[in-house]
Amino acid sequence: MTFLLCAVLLAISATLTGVAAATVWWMLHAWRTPLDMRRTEFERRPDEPNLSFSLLVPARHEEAVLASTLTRLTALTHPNFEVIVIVGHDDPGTEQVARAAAAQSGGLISVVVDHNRPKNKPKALNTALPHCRGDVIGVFDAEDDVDPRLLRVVDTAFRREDAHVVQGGVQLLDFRSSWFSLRNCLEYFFWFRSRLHLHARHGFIPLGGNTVFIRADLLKAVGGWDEDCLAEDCELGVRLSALGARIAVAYDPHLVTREETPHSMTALVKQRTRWNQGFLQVLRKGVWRELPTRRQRLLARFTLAQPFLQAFSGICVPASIAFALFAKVPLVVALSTFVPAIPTIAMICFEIVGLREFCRAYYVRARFRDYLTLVIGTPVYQLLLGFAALRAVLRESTGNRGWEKTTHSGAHLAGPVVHA
Amino acid sequence: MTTDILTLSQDQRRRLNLPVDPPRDPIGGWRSFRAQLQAWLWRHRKSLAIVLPLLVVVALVRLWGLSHGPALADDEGTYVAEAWAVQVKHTLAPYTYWYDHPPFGWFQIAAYTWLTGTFHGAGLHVVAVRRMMVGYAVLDAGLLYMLARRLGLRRIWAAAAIGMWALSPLAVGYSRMVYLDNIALPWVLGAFVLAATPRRSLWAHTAAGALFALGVLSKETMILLLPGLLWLAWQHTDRRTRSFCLVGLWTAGTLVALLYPLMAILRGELVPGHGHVSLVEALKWQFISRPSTGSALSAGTASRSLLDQWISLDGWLLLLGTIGAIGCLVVRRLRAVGVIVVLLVAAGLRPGYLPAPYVIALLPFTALAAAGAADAAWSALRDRPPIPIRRNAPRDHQLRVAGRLLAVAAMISLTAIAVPQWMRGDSALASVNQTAPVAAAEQWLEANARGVDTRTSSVGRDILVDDTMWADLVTAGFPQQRVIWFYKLDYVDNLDPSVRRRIHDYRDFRYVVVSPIIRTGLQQSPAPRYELARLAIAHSATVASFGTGAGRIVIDRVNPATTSTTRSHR
Repeated sequence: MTFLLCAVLLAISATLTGVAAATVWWMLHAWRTPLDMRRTEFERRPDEPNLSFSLLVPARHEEAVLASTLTRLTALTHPNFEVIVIVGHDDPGTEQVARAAAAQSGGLISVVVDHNRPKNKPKALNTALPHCRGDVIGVFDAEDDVDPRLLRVVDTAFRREDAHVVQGGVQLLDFRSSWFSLRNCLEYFFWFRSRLHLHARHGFIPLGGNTVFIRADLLKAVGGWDEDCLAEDCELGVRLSALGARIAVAYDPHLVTREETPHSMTALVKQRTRWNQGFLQVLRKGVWRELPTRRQRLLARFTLAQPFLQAFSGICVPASIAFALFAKVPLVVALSTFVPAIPTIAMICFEIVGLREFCRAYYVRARFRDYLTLVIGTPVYQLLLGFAALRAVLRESTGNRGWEKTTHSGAHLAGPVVHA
Repeated sequence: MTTDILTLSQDQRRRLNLPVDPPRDPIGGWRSFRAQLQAWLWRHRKSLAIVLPLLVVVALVRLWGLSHGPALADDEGTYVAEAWAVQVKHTLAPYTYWYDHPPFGWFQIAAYTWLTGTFHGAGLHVVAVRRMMVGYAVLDAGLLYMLARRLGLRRIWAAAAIGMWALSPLAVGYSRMVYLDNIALPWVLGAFVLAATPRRSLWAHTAAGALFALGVLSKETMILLLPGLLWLAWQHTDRRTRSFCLVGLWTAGTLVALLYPLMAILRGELVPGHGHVSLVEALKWQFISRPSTGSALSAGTASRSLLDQWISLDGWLLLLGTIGAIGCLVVRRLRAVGVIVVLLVAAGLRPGYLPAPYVIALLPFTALAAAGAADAAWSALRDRPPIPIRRNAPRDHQLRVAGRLLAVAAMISLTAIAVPQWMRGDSALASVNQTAPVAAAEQWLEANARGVDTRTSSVGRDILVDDTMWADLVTAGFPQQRVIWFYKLDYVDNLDPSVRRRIHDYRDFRYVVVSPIIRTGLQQSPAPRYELARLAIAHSATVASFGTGAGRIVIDRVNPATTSTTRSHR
């Protein structure tokens, strides 16, 4: 019996250590060597633009933030683009804002009404797809704060890297608006600054929901977005990766699309549940099995399963340590249950450095309190993520696939970069 | 709604500029691994051609007369006995584990003895484990070469570093002894090699931290090399990834090292308490209350006689290394090596406890410092492209030529003097059999002491030995409780109370095996320390004697009736 327990504990420790170590390894991709650092940096000086863009902005009950987003989009410094706002037929408030902006834009903005029901983001995007005239289709959310120089640079990236897809950077910046917002911002920072580059290099990428640009012919050929998937962005990325599409990542701290963190814990859990459930759907759909190399398939399986592995380790680490302490197992086994803590604590240490880099990139001064919030908030945040992962599994297994949308208060639009 | 990706026709794919028919799993893992290995071997062919023969030399010199010398040291026996306890009894030590050292070192010995079945065989187990040290020495030499190359030494000088370390009798003698320092050394050297990563890799730095921690967990004194490691790591980081690299190194190192105190916590032995040993107490003893051996700079101290012993084995390596270290300090790429040697020398000369194996960690770095300084000097004397405008150019050229001639002359004469001395020293180590008396004494005990009469309670049953014989006697069938480590009888300066609780009377002993180790122990620790041992010897009669001179081993049989109190072994 004790032998069996020991074997189980050892197996769990080994798995958890592996998972945590792989996560840290991938998270730090950009800082692995100075060469990797240079490779993940992005040529900010654009050349002569020669592509045309159709920018899709699905908006739903977002009259509060839409107008300013559209104003920013019309200010993009690119000679050849159009903006298509997609509004629901049952959402007159948002439609009114969109139409007003379209009237003032001199033909730059057009409005498409989505009559699907029930409504979700992929359906809205697919509705607009036939109306797109550009070489490249881009997606923005209604609350996005887009840098005016972005399009020129993306245009360059398409040609310089002969890419089918360019993923731009998205960054949450209001890192002092709640206890978890700092963790949230850092997640985005590590994902866009570092990990996405690894995915791009290995030819498997779960795309983000906005600031993503896809060649129109390719997008139309694959039939647009999957309307049944809660993570349509990720699903499209997996599909395009399986086709062997070339993907470039364009991250520059000064050109990122700025977003806000969820305004409450409930909103965060809902958002993560949706993402996780979407990942689960993508995992089950199995398109990733078509990826040509074993390494890509491994990366895909691991990435899509990561939220669940995280939840699993959130439960297993304390449980196995408790077991080891109370069940009187041999010393070596008891010690081994602590080994997964090594990469986990190391991750927090790297995040502390990441916070410093993040603040440097955005010209903010990190305070001692911020570091403290990071360290203290981590376990609670992990618990929250674990809860969201479980919730996603439950919802998916009971067939509950409704779209829980995140609402926005526009915290990131209120002027200076960061709120004290 | 979405198109199944497989339905995209080849034509469509071509039009979309997508790969038309991507091969699935294009290159087999094994084939690419083999190709990489071949490429690596080809790239490093020159170094391999130099290093592999040198590694053979390192191994042969150390295997030459391995079972003859140096004389077995008490600590060697301790570690072998502890490995025996790990392998056979699944405990950390044959007696109470009292946090003398972190146990990772003898875990490695236990892995070796388990794999080779050492404890199933007869004979001197310490000598058997010395073979493992030869393997570690080969590893050390390879790593030393890599480190030298990574520090920018020319192949010839990197090879010279190994050559010195391979032949110096001081290095040869100490590197084949079962000291934890030898076990820690490959880990630490590996950490240095990784920290000097030419690619400035974050993972190399992180792994360096972890390896260094494993080195420290093998022998805690390796912590003295930490400043050198940090210096080297700092030099081999890029400004923009430095914070990540250093945090990786520091975090990995700290977290791995923390497993040791964690182990103490799990055993409930972190802080002192009633009735048990503790890590804090052991550290206090090691660093504060352990009796000092004096400063090696003042005459007549134990540290001084140790230093003299080192120098009598070989002064050249220490001398050249110390001089070289000063040279290294002024060369940026070699500064870390200079720092290490200077720091270790300074720490060794300070008044305090100087353990015999202290020199082990120093030696590879002295070899590296000497070779590195020579390499730097050679660079400085290299001819630069002539600059015709400069008036002094011809004179400088002549000076450099003279310097080079002088350097070559110095090198040849040093080699001519040192190498023959080294060979003589190595041959002396190999020729004098210093372990024969131990083996003979053990054979005598196995033949004559086994039948100790256990029915008559008036006669003691225990055998008092030094640690080197312990594992041999126990694996030969003597009951573990009946073979007593001599130094456990030091009730004054001994944190482990287990023997004190069990033995109160010298009459519990049947035999005392008075070896050079025990003689020295009694000499250096004046009464009342080892009182029971002194009493037992005083009330005993010699029944057998092996060897002559300082290496003599005498077996005394305790007889309570003997009342001679003037008996002593000189």
